[in-house]
Amino acid sequence: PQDGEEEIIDWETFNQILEMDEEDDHEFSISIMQNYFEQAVAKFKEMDAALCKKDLASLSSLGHFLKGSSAALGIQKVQHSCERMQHYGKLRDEDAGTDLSPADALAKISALLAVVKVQHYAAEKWLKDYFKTKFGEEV
Amino acid sequence: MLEDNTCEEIVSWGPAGDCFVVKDMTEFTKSVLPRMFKHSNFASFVRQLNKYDFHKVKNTEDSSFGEHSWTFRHPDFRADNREALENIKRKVPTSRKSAGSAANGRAGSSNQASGDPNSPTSLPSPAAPSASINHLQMQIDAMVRVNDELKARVAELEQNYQNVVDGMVHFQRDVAAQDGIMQNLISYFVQLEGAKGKAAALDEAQGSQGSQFVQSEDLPSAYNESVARATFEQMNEISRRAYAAGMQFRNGNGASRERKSGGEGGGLNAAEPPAASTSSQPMMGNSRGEAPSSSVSGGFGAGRAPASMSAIVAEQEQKPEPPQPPQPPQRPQQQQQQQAPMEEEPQEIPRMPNPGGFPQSFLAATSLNPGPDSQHHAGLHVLTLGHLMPRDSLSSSEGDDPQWQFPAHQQQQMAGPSFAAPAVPLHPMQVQSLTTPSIETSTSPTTSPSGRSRSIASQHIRVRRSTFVPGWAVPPRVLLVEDDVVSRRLSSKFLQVSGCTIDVAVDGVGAVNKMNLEKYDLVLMDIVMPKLDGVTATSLIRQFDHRTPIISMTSNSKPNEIMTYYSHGMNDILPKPFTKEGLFTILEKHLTHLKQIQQLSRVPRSLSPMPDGSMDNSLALTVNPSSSLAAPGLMSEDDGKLNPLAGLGMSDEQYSNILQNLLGATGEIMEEAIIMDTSTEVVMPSEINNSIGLSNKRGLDNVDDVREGKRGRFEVIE
Repeated sequence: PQDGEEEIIDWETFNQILEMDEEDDHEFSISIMQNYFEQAVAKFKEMDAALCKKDLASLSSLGHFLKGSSAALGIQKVQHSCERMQHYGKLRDEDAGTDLSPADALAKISALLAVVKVQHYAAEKWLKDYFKTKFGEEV
Repeated sequence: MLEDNTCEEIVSWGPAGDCFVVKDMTEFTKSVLPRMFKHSNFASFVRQLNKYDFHKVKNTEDSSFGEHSWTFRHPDFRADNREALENIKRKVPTSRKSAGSAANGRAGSSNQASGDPNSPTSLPSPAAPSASINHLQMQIDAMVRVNDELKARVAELEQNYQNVVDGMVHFQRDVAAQDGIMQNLISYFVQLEGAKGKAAALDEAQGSQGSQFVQSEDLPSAYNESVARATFEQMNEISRRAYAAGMQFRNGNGASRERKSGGEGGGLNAAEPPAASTSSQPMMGNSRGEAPSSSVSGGFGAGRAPASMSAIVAEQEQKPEPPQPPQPPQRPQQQQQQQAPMEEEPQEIPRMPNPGGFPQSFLAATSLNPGPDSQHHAGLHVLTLGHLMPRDSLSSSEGDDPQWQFPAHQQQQMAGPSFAAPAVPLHPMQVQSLTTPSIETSTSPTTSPSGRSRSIASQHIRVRRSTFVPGWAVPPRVLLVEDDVVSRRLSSKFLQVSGCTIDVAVDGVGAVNKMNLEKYDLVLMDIVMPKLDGVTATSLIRQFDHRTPIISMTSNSKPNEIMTYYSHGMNDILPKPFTKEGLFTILEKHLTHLKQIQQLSRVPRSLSPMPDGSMDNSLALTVNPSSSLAAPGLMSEDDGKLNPLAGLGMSDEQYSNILQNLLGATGEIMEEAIIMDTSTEVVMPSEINNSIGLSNKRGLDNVDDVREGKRGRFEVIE
C-alpha cells in the first residue's frame, strides 16, 4: 500500500478481469473500463444535480450504484468513498457510528463528492498508464 | 464420682458392675449433681445419660436400693472396664471430653461398690457406649463400602460408555469403507456395462479389445486401461486438431506424452494413416530430451510429471510405432504408473489412471473415474476431451499417430450432443490449467469439442492462469438481472467463461417477463434496481415458478436482509463484488443436476432407475477422484481406519464430514462436497457447512424439482 493507504486498485479483483482477456488482446478489460469511466462521469453529473436539489435519497442510491461498479473492477478507493456516500445519504456516518442531520449529511456528501471525483480521475489515469506501459494498449 | 465412696448411699455401681444406681434421686440431685455437673436437674442428668446411650433399667429383682432408685446401664459402662469408657459417645457426635466426663461422672458415681481405683479420667468405658460406638463404626464402614461400590460401578459404566463410543467410531469407519466398496462396485458395473456397450458400438477390433480388456482384466487395471485409453483418444484428438490449427509444439512434456499415449493407446486401432508422423519424430526427440527438464507448463502439478514422463518415455522407446503394442505389457506399466504416482503424491492422485501420470492433476482420479463412463458413453468422451484440452494444447501438435486418428473417428461416433457430466467434477482438479473455451463452444455441444480444442489451442498460453471451467452436460441457461452495465458485462463474461448461455434483464420488470417467457437453469438477481427491485421481482416470479434457483447478488449481506431474500423465494446469496470462484461455486451448487442427469441418463438401465439421491450420491462418489477407485490396492488396505480419500491428503475427519454431508444433505450439496473435496486443499468442511447452511432452505426442493424437469429435457435431447 502506498502511503499507508489502500492502493488504487484491488489486484485480486482486477486480475480476475484481466484473466478474462484473450492473450495479447485486452479488448474485454479495456472496453469494460471504458464503460466504467463513462458511467462514472455520468453518475457524477447526476450526483451534482442531486446535491443541488438536496436529494439525499438519490445521492445514496447513486453512491450505491457507483460503489457496485467500481467494486467490480477493483477500483477500491472510489468504491469505499461511494459506500460512504451511500450511508451519508441515509443520514448515517458509518465510520463514526453516528447519525447525521440532513444538513450534516449534505455537507459531508458535498465534500465527499469532490474527493470521489479526484479519486476517480486518479484511478482512470492510473489505469490508462498501466495499460499503456504493460500492454501497450490505449484505453 | 462413683468411686467416691462418700456418696455411696446415693450413687453406686450396680451389683454386676455394669450399671450404676442412683439410690436416692433427690439426694443425688442435691449433692452429687451440683458437685459433678453444672446443673442440679436430675431430669437433665437422665437426659444426658440417654444421650450417651445409657438406658434406664428397671431392676425388679434388685429392690435393695429402694423405691426411688434409678438404674442406668450402658454397654461400655463397666466398673472394671475403664477403657471402654472411651467408647461412650453421644449418639450425636460430640466431644469425647464431655462423653468422657459424663461417663466419668457416672462411672464415678457408681464405682464405689467395686472399689476399683478408677480415676475420673480413666474409667473403663462402659459396654453400652462402646456398643453404640461400634454400631456407628459399623455404619461408617458400611457407608465406605457402599461408596467404594458406587465408585466401582461408575468406573464400570464409564468403561462401557467408552466402549460404546469406540464401537460407534469403528462402525462409522466401516460404513465409510462400505461406501467406498459400493463406489467400487458401482463404477465397476458401470464400466462393465459401458464396456459391453462400447464393444457393441465399435465395429473395429477395438471393440474386441475393449471387451477383452474388461473381461480379462481385473477391475483396477481395466479401469485404468479404459480410462487411459479414453484419455488418450481425446488427447490425441485434441492435439491432432491443435496441430492442424497450427499450434507449435512447445512442451516437451506434450511430446513425450504423445509418444507415450501413442504407445499406450496401442489398444486402439489406427484407422487412419498417421499424419505428419515424421514431424512428430523430431518433436519426440525433443521431448525426450526435454522431458526431464520440461517445465510442466500451465501450472501442472509437480516436477514429478517430467520425471514420470521421462520414465514412461524410456519405457515407450522400445515401441516407436504406435500400432497396437501388446496390451498386457502396457497394463502393468500403467498400473505401475498409476500406483507410483498414487503413492508418491496423494495430492496428485488423480493422475493415476493415466499412464505416466499424464494428465496428472487433470485426469485426476475424478476425471478418470468418469473415465470409465466417458469411455463407454459417447457424450462423455467429448467432455473429458474438453477438460483435457488445456494440457493437451500445451503438448499440442502431434496428433499424428494412427491411434490418434482413430480416436477422432471414434469420438465422432460416440460424440453425443452432450458433454459428459462426469467430467464436470474434473474441474476442481483443473484449477491450474484449464483454459477458457470460447463462447461458441458452449452453445453448440456437438461442435464444441472441436471448437473448444481449437480455441483452446489458440489460447494455450492461458493455461497458466487459474481459469477454472466446470463442464456441463448442457450449457446452463442463466438469466442475469443487473442494472449496472459494468457489472453486467463482467458477470456475463464470467458466466460465458463458465460455459453458460446468458440472457440479460436490466431490472426487475424485465426479469419477471423473461422468466415468464422462458425457462432458465439459474437466475442471478441483483437486488437494488430501478423500476422493480430484485426481492419483489423474485416474489412475483415465485408465483409461477418454483424451481429455478434464484441467486441474489448484493453488496448488502446483513443477516436480516439475507432472511428477507430467502423468505421471498431466493435460494442463495452471491455477495458483490463476486469472485470467479464464488460464481463457480454457486453454479456448481445449483446446477449439479446438469451434470448428474447426464450421467444418469447414460447409465445403463440396470443402474439408472434408482432414487435420485442415492444414485446421485453413488455416482458422484464414483467420480470421486480419490484413490479409492484409482488405487484399489490402497482400498484393500482400508480397514476402516484409512478413509478412501486419504490419498488426497484429506483427513479422516474431512472424509467423515463428506460422508455426513452425503448422508444428510441434498445430493447437490453432497456433490459439491465431493467436488470441492477434490480440489486441492479446500477447506472443505466449512465449505460444505456454508453451502448447507445457505442452500438447505430450498435447495432440496429446488434441486429435486429442477432435476425432474431437467431430466425430461435431457431425454428429449438425446
